[in-house]
Amino acid sequence: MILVEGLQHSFESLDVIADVSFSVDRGRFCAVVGPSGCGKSTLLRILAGLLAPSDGRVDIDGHRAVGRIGHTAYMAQRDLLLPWRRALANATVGAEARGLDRRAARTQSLGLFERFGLAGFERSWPHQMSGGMRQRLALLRTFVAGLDVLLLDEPFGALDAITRRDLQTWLDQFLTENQHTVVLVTHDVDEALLLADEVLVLSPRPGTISARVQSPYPHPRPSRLVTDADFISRKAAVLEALGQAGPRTG
Amino acid sequence: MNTVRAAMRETAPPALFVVVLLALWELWAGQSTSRNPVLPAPSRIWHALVDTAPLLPSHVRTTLTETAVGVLLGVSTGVIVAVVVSGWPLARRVLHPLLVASQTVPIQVLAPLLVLWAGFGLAPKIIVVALVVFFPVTVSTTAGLQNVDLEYIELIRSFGGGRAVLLRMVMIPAALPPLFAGLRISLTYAVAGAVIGESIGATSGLGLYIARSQRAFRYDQVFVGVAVVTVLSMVLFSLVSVLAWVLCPWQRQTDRST
Ligand SMILES: Nc1ncnc2c1ncn2[C@@H]1O[C@H](COP(=O)(O)OP(=O)(O)OP(=O)(O)O)[C@@H](O)[C@H]1O
Ligand SMILES: [Mg+2]
Repeated sequence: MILVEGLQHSFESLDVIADVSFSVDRGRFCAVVGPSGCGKSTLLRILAGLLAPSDGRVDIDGHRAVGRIGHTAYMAQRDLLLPWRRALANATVGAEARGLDRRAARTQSLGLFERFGLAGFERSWPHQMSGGMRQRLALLRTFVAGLDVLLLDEPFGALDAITRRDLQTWLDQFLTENQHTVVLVTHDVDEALLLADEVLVLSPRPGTISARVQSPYPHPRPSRLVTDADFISRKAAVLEALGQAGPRTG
Repeated sequence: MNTVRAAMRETAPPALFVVVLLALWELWAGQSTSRNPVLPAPSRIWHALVDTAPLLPSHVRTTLTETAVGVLLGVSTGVIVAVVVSGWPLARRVLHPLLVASQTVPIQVLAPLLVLWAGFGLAPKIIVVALVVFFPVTVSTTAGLQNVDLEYIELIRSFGGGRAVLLRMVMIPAALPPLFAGLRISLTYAVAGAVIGESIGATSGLGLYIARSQRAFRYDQVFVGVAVVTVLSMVLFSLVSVLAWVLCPWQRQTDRST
């Protein structure tokens, strides 16, 4: 589980995260939405241990996580596939970097290529793959790392609407079968409510949590849920929190 | 079929151009042979090649040895310096002016001094070749290492990968293509560097062969020497290109399209 308390971060004089506290129980899915530049990626990088926050406490599975690396599978906003590795070798990058057995990671990846719609592309170079395929491969790499906590920074950001829907449905199903604790950063309110159990709305920089909206539907969820009346009222709540925090204050 | 035709389309125009040039040269120089021994006709150069062919292999062997050892020395020191310089900003500030200065000393000036220090053997030529190779390799490898996307490094770190993992998975592969680019540039001078070293003082080598021919006013033989040097350079260049092709498979597609 993830526990964040009184988190603050500044880059020199720029206050990015003002005061953020939340927790995500084991096996739960938390989505973070907020205007561009409000510190969402910064938050994930702190959780990943890549960045030490100016102040506050971060626990992952009961251990202090500040500056502790290698306990979460972090997927950055860019796919970051290594151009000198073929698709299959890219899938095992996380597992290899963790020092896991390469052969086992390869076998596991090969099994997942089919499910990720990448079958037949095992030996392709990243530059030979479409944007959507690259993003799916980056997601696959994140799973194959074999860690419980997944930190996903706009994993579907570069995809067209149709592929995006497909992958959302697919991710929801995958996570229903495989227990993971997830923090997902996204700009897409539908995506947040469709996938997550709880949605945190961040205010503009410096980020604070301006609203918490529950999404209490059982998994896996049908994509037509987005037309459900209750879903729409929750979406309105998120949008309102986003809007209140928007330019009207200025 | 297609690849053969493509290769033909690639090589035919330059080959034809060379043939036309040689023909013109033959026509022009053939008439003035007696008056102008400094520019012998290609046919006379060919005869000189056939005549001195038995002498050439041992000279070629010497020059090739010097070049090969010098290139290896230059590349390995270049890579080491690149690693130090890119990982340690202070080293860059200290070494950069020295690196640039090392390139401004003309080889023709340096070579006699090296012969004085290191004798008539292989050593001074190896040093000349290494110096010629060292700079382009260092500069391009340093650039390659410094331009590594920081997010790749973060990706490996986020999974707990340490320095060794980083080196193997990111730094080395990222530095290879620029290293080869630098090596390709410097190879065109490497053989010439050995030859210049030999022409100053040597007991064997193509540089010695050219210098002797020059002193004997055998300009046809001088051209033989120059032609052999050119062929050697091109062979080395192709070897390195093949090595780059083998070691950097991800670059193949982009190579072909550009
Ligand atoms: N390494 C850094 N050094 C200095 N400032 C930074 C650094 N990283 C991010 N920032 C600044 O912090 C703020 C928040 O950045 P962050 O990337 O967390 O935003 P975000 O919410 O992820 O935005 P987006 O939705 O556009 O991805 C921005 O104003 C950014 O300029
Ligand atoms: Mg971001």
